[in-house]
Amino acid sequence: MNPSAQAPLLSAQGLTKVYDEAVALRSFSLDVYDGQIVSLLGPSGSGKSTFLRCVAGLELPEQGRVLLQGRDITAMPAYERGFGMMFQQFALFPHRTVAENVAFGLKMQGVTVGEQRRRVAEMLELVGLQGYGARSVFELSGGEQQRVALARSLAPSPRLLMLDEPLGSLDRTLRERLVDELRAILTHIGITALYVTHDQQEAFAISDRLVLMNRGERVQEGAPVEVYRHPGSRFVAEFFGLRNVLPVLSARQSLDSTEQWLVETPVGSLQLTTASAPTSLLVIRPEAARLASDGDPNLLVGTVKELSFRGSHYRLVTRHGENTLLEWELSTPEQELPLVGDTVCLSLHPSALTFLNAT
Amino acid sequence: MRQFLLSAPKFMVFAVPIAFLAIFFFYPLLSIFQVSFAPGGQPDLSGFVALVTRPYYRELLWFTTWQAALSTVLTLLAGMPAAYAFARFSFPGKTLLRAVLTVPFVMPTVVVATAFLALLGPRGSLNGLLTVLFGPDAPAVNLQHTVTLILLAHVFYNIAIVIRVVGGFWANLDPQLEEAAMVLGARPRQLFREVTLPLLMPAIGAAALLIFLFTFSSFGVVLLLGGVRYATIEVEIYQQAVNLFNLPLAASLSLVQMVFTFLLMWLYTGVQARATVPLNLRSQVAVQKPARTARQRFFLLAALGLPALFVLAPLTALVERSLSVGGEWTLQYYLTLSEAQRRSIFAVSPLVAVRNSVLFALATTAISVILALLSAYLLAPRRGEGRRGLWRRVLDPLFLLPLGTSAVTLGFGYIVALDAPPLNLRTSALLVPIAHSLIAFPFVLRSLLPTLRSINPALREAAAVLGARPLGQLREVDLPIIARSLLVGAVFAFAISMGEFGATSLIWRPEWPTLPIVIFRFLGQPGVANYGRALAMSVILMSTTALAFILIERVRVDEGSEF
Repeated sequence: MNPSAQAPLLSAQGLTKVYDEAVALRSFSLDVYDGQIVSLLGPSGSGKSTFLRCVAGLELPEQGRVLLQGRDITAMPAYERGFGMMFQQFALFPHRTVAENVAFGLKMQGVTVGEQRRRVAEMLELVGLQGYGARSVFELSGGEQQRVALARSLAPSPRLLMLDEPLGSLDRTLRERLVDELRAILTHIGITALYVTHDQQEAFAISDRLVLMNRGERVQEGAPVEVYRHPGSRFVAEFFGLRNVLPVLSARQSLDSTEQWLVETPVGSLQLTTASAPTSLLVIRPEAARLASDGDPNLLVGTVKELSFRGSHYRLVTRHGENTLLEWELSTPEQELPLVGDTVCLSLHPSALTFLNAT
Repeated sequence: MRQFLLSAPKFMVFAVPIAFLAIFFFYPLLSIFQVSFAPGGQPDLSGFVALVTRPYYRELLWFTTWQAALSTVLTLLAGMPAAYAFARFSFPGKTLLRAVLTVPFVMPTVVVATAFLALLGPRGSLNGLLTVLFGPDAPAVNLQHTVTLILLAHVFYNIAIVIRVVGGFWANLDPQLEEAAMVLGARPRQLFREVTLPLLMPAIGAAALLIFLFTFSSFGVVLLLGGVRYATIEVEIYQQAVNLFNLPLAASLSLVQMVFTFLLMWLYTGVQARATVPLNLRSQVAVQKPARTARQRFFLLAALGLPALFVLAPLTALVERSLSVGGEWTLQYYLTLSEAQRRSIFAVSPLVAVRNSVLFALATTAISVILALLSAYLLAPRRGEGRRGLWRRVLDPLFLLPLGTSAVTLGFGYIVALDAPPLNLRTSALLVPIAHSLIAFPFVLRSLLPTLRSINPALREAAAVLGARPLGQLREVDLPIIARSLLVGAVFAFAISMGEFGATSLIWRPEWPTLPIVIFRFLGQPGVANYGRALAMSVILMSTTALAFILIERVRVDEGSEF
């Protein structure tokens, strides 16, 4: 599976979309390869839904082109594209039963009634809703509605599936369960998918590739783990909730390895392991710390300012010097916890630290 | 025992609206039926016998029904494109245009009929234009006394209902549903047939039933435009009661019509209940976009321009005709209004009718607003009052009943019931505003109820905890919230009273003529001058109601009200 060797299924080139003077997309380009699940992640208003709507044919971009297997479809109406789309509120037709909802796309294609019935049954089985066909969509729970929406968008075998915050209206626990199920179904049928969300957990869990967006532009792109571990900019770090950002006073490469650095910061000198080149900022992920035992490397001393229990971990805020506060997620430790006001010694994992571009 | 005794304010809330309905609605209606079917205690069913045996009445019922059905279909066809344009597009002058298209709905029937005559009648503007264009031998258009003219007036009258009811529902319809269908391959025509139309059906059904109801009991329009050839049941009731004084027959017709309209009302409330399927309604602003392509602009121009032209043409013709005598611009018709008429049919100058109408309208507004406020509190549930739910279910439709009763029947009932002790109001000036209040009160109540029901009880509780006594809670919490819908209802009541013709045509007194009565009388007199005065009076009446409704449009909380 080497995407660069093949031509992209979908290629968006320099899309620009303006709403009432406000620019929603700025010359945005993206290639999507066959069988990939690509997530567009960003805060609300970052242009991710606008991009999806341009691809779906629901919006006409002011500039740029959308190519499907090399063919320009920018101006093609939505109903001719043969794509699938799941909406945030599911947009199930309230005047139709579950089966009629799922059959809608097939009916539009002029598929025979018998074939429609066969395919609807197949789809309902795929999403685990056998026997739900005759129900009204109002009788369904949020999770069931979401499955019907998925079955409906998959029934006509779309070339590309777009999902616009498909779990956005569900509660947290349901969302966490459904996102795994969703990925299992999508990879099982091997469909190419564009997934829009503002929730990083969802994006991490579902996608092969992640595109981070802000103000209509691409900020960073890569595999989810890479993007999380090496946020390219302060915006990305803050978007992921990484607030432990420190200025780098000086950085020196280790003699043992080119990826090991010794860095001077206002809170002391720290080791970090990263492939990226040093910059003027450093970010430390909150899960980097544990309470230090004798002989641990990469130590950091501070005063406990807050400590609260969060189930799988403790949230710890430490003060270093006059005005540096750092936040940690401390895996619930066996040993005794410090109290607020205590001086605490933390050991940091070098690979949880990385350089950050200042922009 | 204390809790079984009602405090004085609570007693008022219960007693006043119910007593009003009992005395001024049920008592007159029952009196008619008593007088008609059992005069002097002896049952007399000659009215019904005539209805069943004489083919004339079968034709009357048939005409009433088919003209109403055809009017409904035509109005829907004319209004749907405009409803769509209002729902899905934003364009400059939208509020003004909506107001203009709504003006006919509140126009007095007499004015509408006069306006259509002014445009399409034998002395109408269209013929004037044809003469200018083609000379004195030009073919003359005369639609007076044709069904076409009646249908046109009905479409003119009710197009606002389609735009308001269907357009309002459409505007809040989640566009994601249509987008989902489009992505699934629905072409524009399929999209409309498979998704949009079924979703709109409850709103279309509600609008259709309302229009059918209004045109089924159409009175002023048919009386003035239909001539002797065409009559609805309502017109026939008037003819039988006033001109032929055949009370049993008039009462039988009233009963038939009431049964029919109540059946429709019942259907209407059923449809309304179904209309509340849990849809994801969106705020309108997010949905509406300006027209971008040339095709969209052309559509907007046609969908909005044609109805606007259709609405404005008769009204403009009315003003134009009222200002011209023999091709010259003059205020002559207006100026002669103030002159006391020798051998006039009225005891007083016609201009006094303007004053009368305004006074009656103000009294109507006051009465119906007070009644509606009291009944609204009676109907709106409060926390911990669930056990009175049955009461409300009975009272709610009861308060709607006057809406489904023919105004002529009501006026007729007043003549029969209220002209002798214990209640002799026949010569009282109060009779007219009381009748008008019965007709206006359901509208005010419907405008008020949704807002009152939407008040979060926690607000009153918060005020109470902060030290507000019951009256203080009312003043500080309820009043500011319902003020806008109360104002809307008040203006509605004012306009309804200004234009009310059906009931007034039976109960008016020569000392107290109202504008619509004077117009009707002028139209019935021979001579160009009387016709011109009718036009001038219509313009005055139209301006007053239009002004009231431009006020409404400025304060309107569109979504809350059912009308």
